[in-house]
Amino acid sequence: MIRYLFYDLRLKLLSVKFWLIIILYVILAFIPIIPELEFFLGSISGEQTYPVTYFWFIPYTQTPVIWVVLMTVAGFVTSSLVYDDLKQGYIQFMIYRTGLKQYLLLRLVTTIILAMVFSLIANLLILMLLGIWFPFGLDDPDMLSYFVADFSFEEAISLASPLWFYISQLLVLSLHTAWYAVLVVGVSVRIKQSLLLKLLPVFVYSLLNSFEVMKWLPVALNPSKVFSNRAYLERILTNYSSGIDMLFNSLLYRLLFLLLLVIGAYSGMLLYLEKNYRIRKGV
Amino acid sequence: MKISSKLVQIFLLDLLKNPLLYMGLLLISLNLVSLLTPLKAAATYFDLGISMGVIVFLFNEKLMSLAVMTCLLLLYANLPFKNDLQLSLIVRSSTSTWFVAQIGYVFLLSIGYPIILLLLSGLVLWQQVELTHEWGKLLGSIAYYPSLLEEFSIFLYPSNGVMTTYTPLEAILFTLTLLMLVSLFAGVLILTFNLIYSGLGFAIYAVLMFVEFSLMFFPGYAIKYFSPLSWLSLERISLSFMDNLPSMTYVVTFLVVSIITCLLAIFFLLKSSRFRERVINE
Repeated sequence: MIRYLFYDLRLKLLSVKFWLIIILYVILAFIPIIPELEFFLGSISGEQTYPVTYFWFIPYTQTPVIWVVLMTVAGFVTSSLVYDDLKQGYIQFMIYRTGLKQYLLLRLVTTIILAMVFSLIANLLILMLLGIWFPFGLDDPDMLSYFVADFSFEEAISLASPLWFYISQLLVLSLHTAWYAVLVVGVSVRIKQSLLLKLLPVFVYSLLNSFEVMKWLPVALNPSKVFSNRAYLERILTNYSSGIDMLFNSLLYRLLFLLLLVIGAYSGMLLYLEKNYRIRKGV
Repeated sequence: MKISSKLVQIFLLDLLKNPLLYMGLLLISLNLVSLLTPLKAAATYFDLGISMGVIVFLFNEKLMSLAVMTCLLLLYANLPFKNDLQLSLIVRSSTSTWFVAQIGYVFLLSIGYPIILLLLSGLVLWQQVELTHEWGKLLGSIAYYPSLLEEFSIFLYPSNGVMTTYTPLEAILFTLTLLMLVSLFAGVLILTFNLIYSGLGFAIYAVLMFVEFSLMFFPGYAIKYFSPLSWLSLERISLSFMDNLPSMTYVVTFLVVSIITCLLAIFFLLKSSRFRERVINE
């Protein structure tokens, strides 16, 4: 199984499509930042360049439309992993070799790794691009918080060390991408149209949004809140115990949430495929 | 003509069997619920009705705008119809008739789409709709006191400029006409470019969505003159000489000229026997 996992990952990571999607993601994520950069470069940094944090821009990049667009683009990498296998009949070969249960596990692990790697590479690229204009303030939390206009971010940065703040935010972003990817792959066995599969994040976001408005979904069970940096940082403000602990705990909660989602997707796919497909027994 | 209308009927039946249609409608409905529920809560709180003119402001909200564009993409995802049935339809009618029927299908959908949106909005606002030719106290209050938006978590922002320039009926008619023209434009654009190269129409439509997305952050740039999908919102169309936005005349002319250009392109493509053969072979 490990052999197949490495083979699949290598195949995907070295594909042109993967890198083209990363470029598209970076461009789309960068568009909201440009007006802010123009402001800083034009009016402040003429004489001196101040350290900034990319995560300061997250309140902008996480407005609903941009977030949906970014998640949809990120989903292009993994959305058709199982769909293509079913369509091309490759699933029969894989099941013959590994068995259905291992095949599904393999695909879900591949999805999570790919989604997280995608998000890490894309966001590191954005950090690198920003680094061209601004030094990153890793040593001076006060300086960082001085430039953070958003109250919740100012508080969050002053609670944790800047380096930990960067790492935790990168992890949170990659987990956010991973949960969408797992959900899309989970339902891909049922969906017969590729376009619908690619646009699934738009539906999921709209569904969660309407549930939230109707007050049918508690915050703790709402994935778009649980995996959102902004929403969580805002919640930190209500509890001042310890910033680092809070962020760490939140990562644990998110991992648990993701694990439950993976179990749900795995069981759903297994039940559906066993019931609806004539699967040859594996060796 | 009779054959064309029969073909349009077949295409529409094909659409009715397609889950993409229902997913598109579901997407619109979900966003309407998210957008209008807080407004309904405010209406209940103040014991006021909501003017149907509210649909004019739906497209000011970006997520709704994205949902409407996505739904259009789903509705036109079949274009040009390529399935096992089509070859026999082409043989029985002719390639030209088959294409005329597809244009008729796009035309019918672009008329039906605004009506469906109007009906869905009416359904979501059920019991609180106020049939009046005024904007109503609720929308007026929100436009003049934006603090109400935050108080009731309303994301739909009624534009003061639109409310003072147009009557609700005028604004509704303009919005529905623009939605019809934009839908028609999107349909013929996807059809034409998908005929030239499979999937090219979708790629161009995605570029237009990208332009509309960029407009959120670069409102002062010239791209607003080349972003047909953003013209669903009356706020993006000039209300006075001072606002530096495309005028209504420009918008309508741009859309009509683009639609006619696409139709002429299909007409010239059809004249080529090599192209017709390619369509049949595909």
